[in-house]
Amino acid sequence: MTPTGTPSRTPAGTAEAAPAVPGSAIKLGTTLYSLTAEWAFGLYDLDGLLAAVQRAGIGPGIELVASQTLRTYPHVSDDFVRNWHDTLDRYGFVAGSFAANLDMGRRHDRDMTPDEEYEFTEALFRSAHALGFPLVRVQSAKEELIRRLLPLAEELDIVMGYEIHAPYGPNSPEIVRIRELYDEIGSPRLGFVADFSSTMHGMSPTLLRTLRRMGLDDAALDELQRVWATDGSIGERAGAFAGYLGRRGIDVASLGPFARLAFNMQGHVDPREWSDIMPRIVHVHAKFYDIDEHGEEPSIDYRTIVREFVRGGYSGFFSSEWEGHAFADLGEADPLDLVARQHELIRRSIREALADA
Amino acid sequence: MATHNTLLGDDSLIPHPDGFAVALRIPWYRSLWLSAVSEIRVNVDGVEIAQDRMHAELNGRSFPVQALKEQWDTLWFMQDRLHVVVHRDRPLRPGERLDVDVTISMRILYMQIAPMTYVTNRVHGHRELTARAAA
Repeated sequence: MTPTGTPSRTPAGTAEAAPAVPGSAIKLGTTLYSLTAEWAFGLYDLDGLLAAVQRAGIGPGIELVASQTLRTYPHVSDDFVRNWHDTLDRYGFVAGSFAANLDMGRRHDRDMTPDEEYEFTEALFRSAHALGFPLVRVQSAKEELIRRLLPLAEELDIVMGYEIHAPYGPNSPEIVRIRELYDEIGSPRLGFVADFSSTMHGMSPTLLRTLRRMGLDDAALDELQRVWATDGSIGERAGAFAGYLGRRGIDVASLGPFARLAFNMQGHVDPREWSDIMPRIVHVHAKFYDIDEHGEEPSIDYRTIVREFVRGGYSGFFSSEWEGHAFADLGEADPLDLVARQHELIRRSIREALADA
Repeated sequence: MATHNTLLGDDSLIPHPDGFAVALRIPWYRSLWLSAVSEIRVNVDGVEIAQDRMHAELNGRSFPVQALKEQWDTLWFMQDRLHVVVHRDRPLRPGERLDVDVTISMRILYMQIAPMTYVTNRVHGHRELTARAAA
């Protein structure tokens, strides 16, 4: 949703992002994170990466992870800014979301002070602004930091989106606390980024395939999925599964941490819960791992999720986030093709939701 | 898997005036400050290399391995490779083969578990490598 009372701005790129499907204001885009492996291996420079996104037709909204893309992180150079705007203009792209992290353990001997946290985040906000982003994804919602950042967000005309990611959902106690803080502050500049990792109906087959390759048999994979579907914390579930591996004499040291990753990356909250915070959702990470031969995501129910967002009148981006690279090797899958097929799935789901309405 | 099995590549063994370099790809999906490196252990042909018999190089700058943790203002950009230079009397020549085993521990310095405690990614890479031409 566009917060009311937001002054007009000049986003990067002269193009306006068109809705994915007439009748709904949902817009499509891609986070460059989907191409993490290709980027890490230097198959593309930034121009090449954006050209590939253009060729695949998976814009127009572009999201970047600052700590992936910026060589001068957390800052940007004048040349970089100029080139970025030129490239976005050339391709008709729109700057969607600038994903920030808070590197609070940057020094090995102490954590950042509150002043350092502010200064580091300020640098990121200023970089985002220079690159024309209207929105910064944040991962820390410490009350003091949020309150200090608000005047800066006003100055730079930026919306802050705190990411809701697996294993949490809109009604997890950790998120309810932030909702209460938002209600108390009452600023339209505070919102949430909804990551669909929270609302999966099963563990991704891509992950299960990798675990099988690493040595888990059918019984162990069944047990893993049983534990995954329970409601314990990450630590409790990881502990339960490590106990099972230990009893079976399976290598806990190497497989335990990898299974823990699964509890961290994939959650099983009911997708209908997104409706509980819909007016506060300012951006979406359309997380996915695979698109099957029927054009569906095997572990994320896009039809149900999209219906909630169409009904709720969501008008921001669905920024496609393919995370299969966490489990697949470079070259095993083509992220550009997968995102294009996922965009089709999203469009189809929007059409269905509109027809049902 | 960007976070686990890409530490070493086929082209990771490089002759160096001090001996040879092992080029490491960052075992994480984003760039991290060099201070994230809490430990690097290298084992060559079954022999553990002493910490004072190697140093690290990033984009032409050199650091003692044990001093990497102080480098909170130097970014290990994810498209750059960290060269761990192993010292020996005779520099390695292109075409020579070595069995290289590297373990690196990284503090994921934005994923805090508790004050001063961060998620750790400990990654192991092992390959029989042929030295390529020096860069």
